[in-house]
Amino acid sequence: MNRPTDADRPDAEGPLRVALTGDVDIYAAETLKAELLRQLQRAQVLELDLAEVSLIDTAGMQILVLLKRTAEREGRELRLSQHSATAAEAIQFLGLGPFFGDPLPIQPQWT
Amino acid sequence: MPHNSPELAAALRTFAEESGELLEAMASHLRALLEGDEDMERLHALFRAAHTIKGAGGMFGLEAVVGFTHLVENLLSRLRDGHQPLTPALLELLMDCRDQMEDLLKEALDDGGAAADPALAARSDSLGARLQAALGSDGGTVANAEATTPAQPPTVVLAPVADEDVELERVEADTWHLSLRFSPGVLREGMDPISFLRYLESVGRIVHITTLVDNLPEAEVMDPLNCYFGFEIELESERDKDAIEAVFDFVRDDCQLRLLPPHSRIADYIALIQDLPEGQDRLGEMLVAANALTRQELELGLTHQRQLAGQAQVPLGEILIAEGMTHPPVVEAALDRQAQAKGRPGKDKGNESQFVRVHAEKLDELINLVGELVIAGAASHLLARGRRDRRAQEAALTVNRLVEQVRDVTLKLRMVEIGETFNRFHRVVRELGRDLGKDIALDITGAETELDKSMVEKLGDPLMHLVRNAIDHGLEPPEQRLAAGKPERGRVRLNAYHDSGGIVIEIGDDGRGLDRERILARARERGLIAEDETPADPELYALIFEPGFSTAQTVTSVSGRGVGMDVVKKTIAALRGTVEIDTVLGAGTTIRLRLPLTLAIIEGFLVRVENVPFVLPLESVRECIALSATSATDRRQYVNLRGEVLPYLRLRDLFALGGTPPRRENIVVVRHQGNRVGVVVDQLQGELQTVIKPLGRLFRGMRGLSGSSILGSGEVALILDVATLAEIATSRDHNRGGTAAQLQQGAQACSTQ
Repeated sequence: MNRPTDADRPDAEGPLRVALTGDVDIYAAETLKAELLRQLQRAQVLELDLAEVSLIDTAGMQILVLLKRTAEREGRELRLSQHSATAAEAIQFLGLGPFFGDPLPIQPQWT
Repeated sequence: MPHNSPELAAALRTFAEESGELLEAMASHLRALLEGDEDMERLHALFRAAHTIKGAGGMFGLEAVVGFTHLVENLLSRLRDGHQPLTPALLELLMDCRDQMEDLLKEALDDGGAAADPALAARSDSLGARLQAALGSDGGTVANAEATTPAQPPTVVLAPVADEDVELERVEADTWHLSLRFSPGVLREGMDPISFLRYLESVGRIVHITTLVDNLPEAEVMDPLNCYFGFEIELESERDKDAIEAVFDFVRDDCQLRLLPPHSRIADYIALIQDLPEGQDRLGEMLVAANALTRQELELGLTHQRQLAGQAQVPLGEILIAEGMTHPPVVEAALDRQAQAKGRPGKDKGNESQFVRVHAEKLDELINLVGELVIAGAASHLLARGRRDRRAQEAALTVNRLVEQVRDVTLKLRMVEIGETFNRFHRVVRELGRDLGKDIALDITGAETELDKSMVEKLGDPLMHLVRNAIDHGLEPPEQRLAAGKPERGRVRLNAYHDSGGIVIEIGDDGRGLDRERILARARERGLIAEDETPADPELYALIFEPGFSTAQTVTSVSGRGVGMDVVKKTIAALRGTVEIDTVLGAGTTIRLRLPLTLAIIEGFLVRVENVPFVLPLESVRECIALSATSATDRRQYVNLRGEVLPYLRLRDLFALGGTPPRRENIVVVRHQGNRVGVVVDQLQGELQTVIKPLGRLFRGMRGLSGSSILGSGEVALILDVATLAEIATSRDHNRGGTAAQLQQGAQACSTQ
């Protein structure tokens, strides 16, 4: 289970950093949707720290995509950073790297 | 083909078998089309078969096959896409082309790299030219629709797989394209689409996934528990469509899956694009991005589609596009279509891929072991019975029943339908008919009759001789047929059925029949029959199986040299079979081959005479009756069986077993070809299942025996040949049996083996 935790208070123009931990999955989807949208409204730039993400499933990925799209529509910015290996792999597997546009860590080669 | 490595040799063997099956399938589809069954699926299947042969041939570098098949495939492709109407002339051409493919493959696979047969190559060229002509013949009428594809090359080019025309019609990508749309509720069902994508890696390598996020609504209405994503996937896989589809078995009801195989036609991609709710521009771009289509292919396809749409009916996809994106009716329609799409391959699957290839040796080994198991089972059953232990008996019974089932199933493994062998003759009949200027129809019945595979292989040649003979000698030329008041079209008939433990194969024609007088004259001329002798019909007709015996006035390329029929007779005899002839002058001839199924195991009925065990095939046993001393009229050797005359013979006399008959003898009534005869024995011992072992050399040439068998007790039992017994009983010819001494020796020889 996952709770977004405020990592930073919003400065005037600085990004709001929120860290996601644990599984970003269907069980967390409703909470995540509400909470992250609320956070997005508070800042011009929302940066999600994915370092502690242990899993992203389809529902979780949909929330991330939703945030990205909402941000774009409202003239805000969503950044994903510090991807954990799982998070980065999931984004790359679905070919969503270009959609998010964040630099991804280099994948270890799975054999 | 030089066989460099065992792997390559094995791969080639597989290829040879598979292409053989594909060619068979092509032949049957073509025949069905010729007979007016105009099912589009047949054209698709034909195309697929040609395509597969070409592709696989290419891998082995069989240039001649690939080049020629490529042309055939071109024509099939145009027919399939409706660019060209299917005419009987084209079907004939395709038939010839199929035959040519068969010959080319045979040559390529058979010879050890020797020079190609120039005649074969020449035929390739001439057929190739006819194909080109057929392809080019309607070029003018559909010039407009074809504007976007280059005209067919005018010359015969035996080019390898990729020539221009194919590249333009088919996409370059060698990956499968999967288009996946999930129903919104799939997540609630506890299924995660991503995990299915990961599972997909078990059947191949995912080259690229495009996740479609277009359907994700605005934040306010987006339900986090609904699935909005769609996926377009490029998959590299050696597996077939079913295997890939199977990945999504668990979500079948909750997803719409569309699959395009590698090198699909551009048109298929365009249809896909238009059918999906995202709209063609978006999807088209995406497919280009994913390398599924090149930009050129996309443009070409879209232009082509627009032209067609302008001319003809509105494509089905448009209705969908006109509708909203996620309307329930659309989803339903999509699912319906999916169901249809799934239904179709299911129909083909029937004959395409429900088999496992097993080496014949392994089967033989299994059958051998089962044979031993049957003997061992019988022994333990016998022991259990002797022990008077109820539980041991029950256990032995259960084991026996299971062994019986295992035996039946195992034996069936080696049984094949004779239809495949019969179907090969369509070509023979067609070609010979053409060479000889005769119009001939081939009727096949009993194609589903099964017999042992080893038997089928040995029957090919004799059948070929008989069919050729029927066509050349049996059927008259058309003028003669018309003059005789027969239909111009001659008929050749192949029929098979099971009869009292054997199989009967009939080769019939409705031709002139055998001319008794001429055969008699020829036989006298050759000194086979004395001038004053007038043999009975069967004996006389049997003469046509004598070496060098021919009454044909002209020797044709097909037959008439008097070689062949004697070989037929020999081959059939070697298979422990017999040949019979039925003929009516002017109305036709039927040659009947009667063969054992060569099963390794039979259900038998055990009897004893002077304590020597004999086995009668159970299938031929009708009933058993007691032979009272009064009802037996030894002088005439028949009894009155419910008012019918039943001829009988005594095994004791036949095999010179000696001894004195017991006070009460039994008659086993056996049936053969509708005739009943009685076999007189001392004791009846009941049913048993037993393994047939071939007779030792000592017994060869002994009439009335067809094999031997080892009983559970270790005794050797001789299996009686009902056909011969019936013959002996009716003809009263007792002198050719063996002697008791011979039997004893033989039994010893068998048991020491």
